Amino acid sequence: MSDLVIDGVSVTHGSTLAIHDVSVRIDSGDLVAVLGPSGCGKTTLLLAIAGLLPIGAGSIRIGERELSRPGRTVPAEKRGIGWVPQEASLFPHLSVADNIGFAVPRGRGGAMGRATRIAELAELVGLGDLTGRAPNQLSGGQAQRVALARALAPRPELLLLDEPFAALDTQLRVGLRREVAELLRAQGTTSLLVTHDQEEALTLADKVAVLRDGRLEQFGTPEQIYQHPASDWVASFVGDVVELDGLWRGGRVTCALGAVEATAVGFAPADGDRVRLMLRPEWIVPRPELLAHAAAGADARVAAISYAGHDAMLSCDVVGGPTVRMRMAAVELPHVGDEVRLAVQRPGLAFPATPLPAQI
Amino acid sequence: MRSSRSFSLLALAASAALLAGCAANPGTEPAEPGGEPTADGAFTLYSGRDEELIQPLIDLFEEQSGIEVDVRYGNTAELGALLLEEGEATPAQVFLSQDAGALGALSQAGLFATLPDDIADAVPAGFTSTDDSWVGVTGRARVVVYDGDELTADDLPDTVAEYVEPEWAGRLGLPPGNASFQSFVTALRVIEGEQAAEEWVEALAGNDLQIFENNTATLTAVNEGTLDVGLINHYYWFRQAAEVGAENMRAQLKFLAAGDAGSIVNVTGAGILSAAAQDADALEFVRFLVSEEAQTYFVEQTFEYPLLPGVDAPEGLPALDSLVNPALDLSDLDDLSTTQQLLAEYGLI
Amino acid sequence: MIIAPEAVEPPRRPAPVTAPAAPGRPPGLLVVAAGVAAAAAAIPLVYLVVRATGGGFEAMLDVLARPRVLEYAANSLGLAAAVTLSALVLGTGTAVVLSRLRVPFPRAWLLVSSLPLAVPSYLAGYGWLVTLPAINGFVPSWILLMAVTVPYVTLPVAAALRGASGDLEGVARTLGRGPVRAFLVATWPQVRPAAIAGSLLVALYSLSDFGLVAMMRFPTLTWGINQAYAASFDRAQAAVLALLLVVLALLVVVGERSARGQLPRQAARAVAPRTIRRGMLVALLPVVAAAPAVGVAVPLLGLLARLLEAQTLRELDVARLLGAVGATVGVAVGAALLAVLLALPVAALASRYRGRLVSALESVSYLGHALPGIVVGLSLVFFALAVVPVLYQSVVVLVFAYAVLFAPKAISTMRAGLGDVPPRLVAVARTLGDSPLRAWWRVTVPLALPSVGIGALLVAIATMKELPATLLLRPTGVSTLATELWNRTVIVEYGAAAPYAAMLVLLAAVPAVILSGVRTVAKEEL
Repeated sequence: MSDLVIDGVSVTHGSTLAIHDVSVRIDSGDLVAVLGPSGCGKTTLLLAIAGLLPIGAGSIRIGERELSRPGRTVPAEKRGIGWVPQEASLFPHLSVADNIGFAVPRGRGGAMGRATRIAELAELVGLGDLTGRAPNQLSGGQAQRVALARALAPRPELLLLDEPFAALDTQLRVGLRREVAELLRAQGTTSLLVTHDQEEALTLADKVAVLRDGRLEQFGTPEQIYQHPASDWVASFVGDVVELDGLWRGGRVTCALGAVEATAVGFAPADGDRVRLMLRPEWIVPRPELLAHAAAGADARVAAISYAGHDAMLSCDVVGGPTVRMRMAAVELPHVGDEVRLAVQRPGLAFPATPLPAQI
Repeated sequence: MRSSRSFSLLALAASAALLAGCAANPGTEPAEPGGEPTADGAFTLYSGRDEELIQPLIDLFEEQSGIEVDVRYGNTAELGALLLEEGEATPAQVFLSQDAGALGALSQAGLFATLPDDIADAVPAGFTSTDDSWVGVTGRARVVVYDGDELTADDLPDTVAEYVEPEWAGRLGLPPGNASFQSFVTALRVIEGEQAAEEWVEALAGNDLQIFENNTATLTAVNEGTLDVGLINHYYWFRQAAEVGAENMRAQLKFLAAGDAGSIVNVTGAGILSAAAQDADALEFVRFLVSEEAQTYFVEQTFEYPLLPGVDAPEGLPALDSLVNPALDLSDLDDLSTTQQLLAEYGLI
Repeated sequence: MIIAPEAVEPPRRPAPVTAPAAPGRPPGLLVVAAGVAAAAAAIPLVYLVVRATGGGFEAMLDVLARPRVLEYAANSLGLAAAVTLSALVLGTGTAVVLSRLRVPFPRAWLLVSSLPLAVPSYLAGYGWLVTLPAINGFVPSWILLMAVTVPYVTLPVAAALRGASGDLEGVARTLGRGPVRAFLVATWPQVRPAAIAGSLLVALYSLSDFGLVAMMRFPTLTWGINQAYAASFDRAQAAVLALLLVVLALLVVVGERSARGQLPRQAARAVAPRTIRRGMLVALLPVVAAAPAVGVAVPLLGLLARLLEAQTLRELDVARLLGAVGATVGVAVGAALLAVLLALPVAALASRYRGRLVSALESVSYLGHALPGIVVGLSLVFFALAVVPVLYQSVVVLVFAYAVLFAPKAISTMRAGLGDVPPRLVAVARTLGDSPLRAWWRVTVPLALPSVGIGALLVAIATMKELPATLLLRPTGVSTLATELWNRTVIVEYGAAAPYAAMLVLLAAVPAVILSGVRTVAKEEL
């Protein structure tokens, strides 16, 4: 197995540039999520990797093997890349077994060999007893499992999953995606999972590539993406943020929550510059023991609690300031109306004081 | 030559060389050289005459001669077009035609062999070809058919010229595309002169003429009472009468005055295709057609005029002699194209 | 302050990437195969050009300058337009009533509405003349042609309605549209390709029909062509008129191409038929029954009446009848197979690719359907004698002629069927190791099989009814039901003709009935 190298790839779709100069290197055996809002070009990128779309610039390689460059596209069937499309797309005229066995040659190993492989794959995705069914007798989750088994059957070097869980209901989605991720890791298959669901990307993937308008915004581990987003856009796309205006001074931002330690992202502010501080809600904590110390933190009153079982989101009115949201484990929650003292438990992120684009 | 021709036509079929085919048109090979008649006990007949009426006669011939006849039925015009298209390559040895027009067209295209004298001379001149390229088999008289419930024979004019008077506006119907009708117009041109014929056609076209596709449709319209008078061939009426009974026929027949172009007699006939000039089986069949036995069959079964002297016409018909127009030679009637130009000019075809 | 992730989502692009398997250039092999099919369809055209120019350019102009020619052309065009428009409206209406309203015995009604297909136009015309001898001209030609061609619209539209999503229509209703406007806004775009494709067949049928207009004494170009052959043996003149017909047909085909439009098919949710008031139903059913009544019931009753009063009703030669049935079924099956084979590459090309070459190949392939049988027949006489004289007057050439004449019926249905197969499924097959051709064979063809079947059935029906080309090209001595029928009607032996007419309609009704029952693509389950 070798690494997938996407090197300066651009793809035009009709007259619009759908993918613009994207470079990513995906290590063998990794599960990488391609994350981005609808229409950002992630499916286009997937199709280009699958060989279903030609590229306009750059190259796509697996190890030393060149798959795509402008004017030359190794056909999809010669790439050894599996594809699990949205909505499963099972062949409606074939049974589950024949869908799974679509790419299992009939000749080699005889009928028994083929049947064994199909049964093995069906078992792998947990559908051992459904191989005789027709696709329209399957539930959405079962159909996706079949699609996965079908794609795994020819033992692809690389597996592409295009929002495979998007059409499923939440509970099923959470369960199935964990199962699939484990399965893929166990198989050691290099996989590329396209999704617009941040949680999905962060929980499943070894690495996440964030795409926006056809450009790669950031590529890194889930933690890097979440804790150290490369831009304010990535920051707010991959998770909840709390934004506060403030002034930069010596590595701290003075704002409604006090002088909060911060890292400037993508620019070098001078002391006294106006900046925007971004925090994750869980970076803010109520520290009752600080209530007496006026210097640290900020006084606030709990205005609302949104309870989510394992944790809770608190809306707190900072005295003389804005309302901030904070997330905390739901062990000993304060009550609405309680006074709390808020502190920030790790450095925040400072961005230039320009408003976010595309705000609705 | 054939292979290169095939090649060019293949290319042509692939839409590559549209015009290459002009030069490769079949029909240029010389006819088989003459020699002794040969017989293989079978031949192919293209029959423009209807199967129901002619097949019993063919069966009779096969039985008597032991010769096998492969018959291809079609309508005369289409078989004529087919023979023209096939040219020398035709699988047919004999063409049996409903009318002289098709025979004339094929004769002009040089597709017929000259018939031996004993066949060509069996039928009196005036009812056969002048160059012995085909022989007349039966005669068919032009008649007026009228609505017997509305009209009597006395109401009807005796000359075709009067049927284009305003009195008959919208009441007269005929099939202008029909070969027999066109033969009649040709006869009109020969007998009355080009100018009179043109005036007649002009008057016809301007008189709210009812146009039909063929004789049968015209007769049906009269018999159903939707048309007052029509110009057709005589035997259509007899056949319909045989189908539903003469007493049930609403349509009635009127023969026009002898000598009038409206009462001319057209002939059906047969010719031998040039490649079969020496085919004894084909010759024997054509000889049979003008035999007394076959001629009697036509009289009794198809109600046509026999052309062999000595065989009597069907009952109820005026004698053929009385219809013969001394001023008219059938060979004068092969100039169909002028007639068609005339009809086309007045929007009839 | 807090920005929900959805809020930063940029506006959706109008067309997300869903059809990856349609690259710009069609595969060479497919183009070659479609080229072969188009070349076969072009044989009559080549023949006509050869014949028309044979008499010289001036002679061509002479023919065209005849006042009657303009009338022929205007009549052909007017008739085709009237028949097509009315068949489109009536067929769509029938399909809607049968698939969207709760009608008693809906399957039976659909079956009945397919029956006019089985009646040859000349038989319908004849049956009416027996009943109403006075009818002639434009209006009866129009009404009768419409009646026998309506199923070309009804059946595909009914099938498309079964596959069409009703959600959109429901949405339109909730947005304040009335039922009719909601249908037009939401559902019509989904069934339009099927309706337009059916209309194309109706238009070409109307242009090429000779049997009915001859009976109704309505002089169209086909009438003129026949007159040219029949009266003057003037093949040049006939060819010029036929070329004029080709030009009209091209206009129709080009018009259809621009009106076609093809929407990506969406996941369909079946629409439960609506219950309507009894009075409404009573008012609507005559609409559904109109075509079968005019095209089937009245003509057959007329023929039956004739049969009863005929005196030529002699003992039936059963062996001969069975022989004709055998020959008819044989050539129909052969023609259906060959036509589907020829149509497949053209339909595959037209369903996925655009461009001038594709348009040209598809358009040429339709032309055979616009020409009267006699023209196609003669052109194949010409072709067979020049290229494969050994096969002349063999079943091979006859079946080939049927394929040239009727392959367009298969092209138009298969094009829609192939176009409905989701490209994504083909792409999946590609990623699983199938070459484009193999993926097409393993995925596209089986999914489009119902439409292939429909195409084959339409060709089989048309073949059974075909007369002029059969007369010219059949092996000497071979008779089909149509030629046997012709044998007897030309000599006014209605009684003897009746069993053949009945058998022909009965036989052609079999595929027609099957047609009404064929579910379209498995797409209904996608």
